[in-house]
Parts: sequence; C-alpha cells; structure tokens
Amino acid sequence: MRHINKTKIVIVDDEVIIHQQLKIILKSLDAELIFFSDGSKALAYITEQDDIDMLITDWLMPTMDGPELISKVKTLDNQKYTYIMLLTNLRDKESLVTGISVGADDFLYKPIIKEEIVAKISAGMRVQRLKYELKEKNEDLTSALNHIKDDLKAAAKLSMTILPSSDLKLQSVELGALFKPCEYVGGDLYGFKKITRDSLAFFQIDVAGHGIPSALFSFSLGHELSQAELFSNEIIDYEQINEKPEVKQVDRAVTAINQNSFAHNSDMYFTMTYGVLNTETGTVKYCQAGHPPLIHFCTETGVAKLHGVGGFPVGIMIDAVFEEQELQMQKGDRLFVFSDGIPEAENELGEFWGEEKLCRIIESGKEKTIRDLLDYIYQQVISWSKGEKLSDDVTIIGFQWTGEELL
Amino acid sequence: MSLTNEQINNNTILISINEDRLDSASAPTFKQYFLDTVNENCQKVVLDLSNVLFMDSSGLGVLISSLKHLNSQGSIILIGIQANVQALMTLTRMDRLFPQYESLEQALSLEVN
Repeated sequence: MRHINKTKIVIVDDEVIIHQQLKIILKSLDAELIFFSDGSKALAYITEQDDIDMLITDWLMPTMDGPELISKVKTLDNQKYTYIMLLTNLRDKESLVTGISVGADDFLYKPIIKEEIVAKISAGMRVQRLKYELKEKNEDLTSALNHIKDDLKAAAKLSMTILPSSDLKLQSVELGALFKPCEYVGGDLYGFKKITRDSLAFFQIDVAGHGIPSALFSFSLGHELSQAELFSNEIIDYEQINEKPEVKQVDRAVTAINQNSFAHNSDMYFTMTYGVLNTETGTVKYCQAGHPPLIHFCTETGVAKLHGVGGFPVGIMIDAVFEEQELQMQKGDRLFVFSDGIPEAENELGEFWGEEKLCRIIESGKEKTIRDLLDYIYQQVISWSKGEKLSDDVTIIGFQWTGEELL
Repeated sequence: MSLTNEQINNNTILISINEDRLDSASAPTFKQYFLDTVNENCQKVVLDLSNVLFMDSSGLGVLISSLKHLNSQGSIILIGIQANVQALMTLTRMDRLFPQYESLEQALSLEVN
C-alpha cells in the first residue's frame, strides 16, 4: 500500500484564528496538518507534493480565492486523487454550483461546528482510502495487461519461426509471401517446399476464428506439417522412383492432414489450399478445402481470373472427401493464393473489398515484381479500410512461373 | 445480439437470428443461446437466416459445432439464406451438411418426406 502514512491535510485560510480552531478540532484525527494563509503560497507547495490526501480551502481570500486555487490544483497531474473541501459561509445555490463545478468534493460551513467538520473529514478520508485501493488495483491491472502484451509479442515472434523465412527464387519460379496478422498472433499459416526435382508444393491455411486459441492451433498445425514434409509422401508416386517420382492426386495430402488433425477433438477447423506446381510443365494441381479460390493471371491476355469450385474445410468431418483440381500456366503467368482476410476487409461504410478488386489490382500491377505487387496489394487493402482495423489476418502467396528450363 | 425461438412441434424448433451479421463477434453469443435453447435430442432445428447478410468462418464454425451438439438423428435446416452467406456455404460445401429451404412452410412440408 502506498498510503500507510498519516493522512496529510493542507488547510488554506487567511484568518489565523481558523487555523487554531481547526488544529484543536482535528487533533483527534491523527492527521498531519499544513497551514497556509495565502492561496498562491499553498499552490506552490501543493505543486511540489504528491502525497497530499486532502485540501481544505477558504472561499474568500485576498490575491487568490478558494475556487481559483481549486481550479488550478485540478490541473496538476499529481493531485488527481486529492479530496477537496471548500470552507465557506455561503450557503446559496449559486455558490454550491460554482464550488462543485471548479472541483470541490464537499463543503464545510462557517461558523465551524466541531462534530460536523470531524464527520465530514472522516467521510472524506474513507473516500480517499477507496480511491487509493482503486488506483492500486488499476496499476496492478495495467501491469498485468502489459505483461500479457509482452508475452504475446514474444509468442508472435516464435510463431513466425515456423513460416518460411524468405521468398523463394528458383530457376523457373519466383515466389513471394505476405503475412500480416490482425492481432499480435495470427491463425493464418503458409509454406512451400520443393518435394521432388520438378515439384514445388505450397499451402495456405486459415484457422477459423482468431486470437490466442487459433494462433496456438495454427502453430501446432505448422509444426505437424513441417515434420511430415507437408505430407508429401502421400502424393509422390515412388513406384517410378527409378525414373522420375511423379506427383499424383494432391487431395490425398489434404485427406491425410484431415485424418491426422487433432481438430476433430475441438471446435476448431480450418480452410486450406494445397497445391503442387510442376516447375517443368507449369501444371498446377491443387486441392481447395473451403479456402477462397486461386487467382490465375494470364500474361498473354493480361486478365486475372478466379479458379476453383470449393470443397470441404479440414477438421469438420473425419471422412470428408477432398478433390483435386488442375490448371495450366503459360510462361510468365502468375498464381495467387489468399486468405479471406483480403476479400472480407471492410471500409467505414461496411463494404467489403471483394475478390474482383484483387483481380483488377493484380492485372494493373503486372509490371511489378511479385514482391512489390504483394506489398502493393496490402497497401491497397489498408487504404481501402482506412481507419477501420482489419479484423482478420491477411495472407497472400504469389508466384510467377517463368518456364525456363532447368539446367 | 437478438435471437428468438419458437417451438414448431414436438421435434422441431425455429431459431431466428435477428441480426445482419453472424461473425466472430456474435458467434459465441449464438453458441450459448443454442446450447441453452436446444435439447440435444431435438431432431430438427430450423434456423432463419433471412436477416443475416454476412457470415464469416467463425459464424460457420458455430453452425458446425451446433450441429455436432445434436445427436446423429438431429439436423439443422437453414431458411431464408442470403446471397453472400450462400456463397460461403457453396465454397465450403456446407450446403451438403445443412439442408436449405426458402421458407419455414417449405422446410416443414419437404423435410417430412
């Protein structure tokens, strides 16, 4: 407790007789009393002290009167909690209103009646004690909250470690990713990995909901996926290992993730796109598990189109059947996978950004590198939702297939 | 969040969501309401979504966990579904898990058969 000391009361009155009267009356309260005859001197003292519990000031005084002193004390940062009483013989309504509006908590009336003044000061001290308790609790809460925020920041740093640390540049593919969690920690997850000589697997996951439970879930999921090499064993046909291992039916990887997923023991589920690009032919096989469609930008026509008919999310039904879809890229084409945080970004009118706008921006940014384009898209989302905090994580993976032959 | 319910018959209850959003902000309230209102042996819950213009993945999640709350004979039937919500149901194939009808009358007459 901060206040184990004696109650400290500053008393301001230009009549010395009042000082003496109060000294006698307040003896029984065991408080420290500091007297001033002049408002401005009292103010100078109060400005320097931060342990004053109570201020009792006369109303009518030369140079600085009671209301002026109070209004000045009220502007001091260190006197936020000081209990203030006006000592006066004015009992009319206007004076009462003036006194309260400048910041007095109570009134003491002249001529002084001992019982009344002791009772009012005791009541004031009770209020003070409650204020101090409240202040202390408030400080505890603030410090607890800061502690949690620090922990979250540390957790966010840790959760980033399971994401690929940089963009990928292969001979025939330039791949970039952008991830902006809406809170400290996010429920989105993505990754990519070369799983055979000519196959690049990529995935993006959006755990439903956000905040700490989704982030923890997403973290363990990321760990599971990287341990299992993105479940690539499920889709690589090793029977042809002597020639060239072939990737088949990428939906099998998602089926395996769904069957392995601990999501079935909770209310959690997630949407996912899992795809494999054949870096030699430009064919993309993918499984869209409740995730938004892909966007395929065709360099020749300059048009970006949505791709994908949908599918079950992961973690809802253990026996869910997933499907493989396919698209063919031409040299120079681009492909984008995004989470619903982008189309569901809202502006102040409650309008959604939508998928069409994303297509148009991808078209207009065709001269940019993948990296610059992703940053540009994010800036556009931010400026659209100006002032409105994004309510979901924003993730995009984008890549360009250059089709250059491997050496 | 404004939610109302009406017992239609012995094994059917109607719940109406009188809000334009079922999202991460309102999903927990809906979930609690569902648990408080619907007995796990209830066979049919008709959910009136005609006021819901936007549903996100948390909203969908709460529908799924509500369905899991019912026993294996139970079903949740959606009525008055709006375009935006329909798009989400189609994308996630959840239209296969939740039968959909235009109105309560249609749901009652067709679900019996």
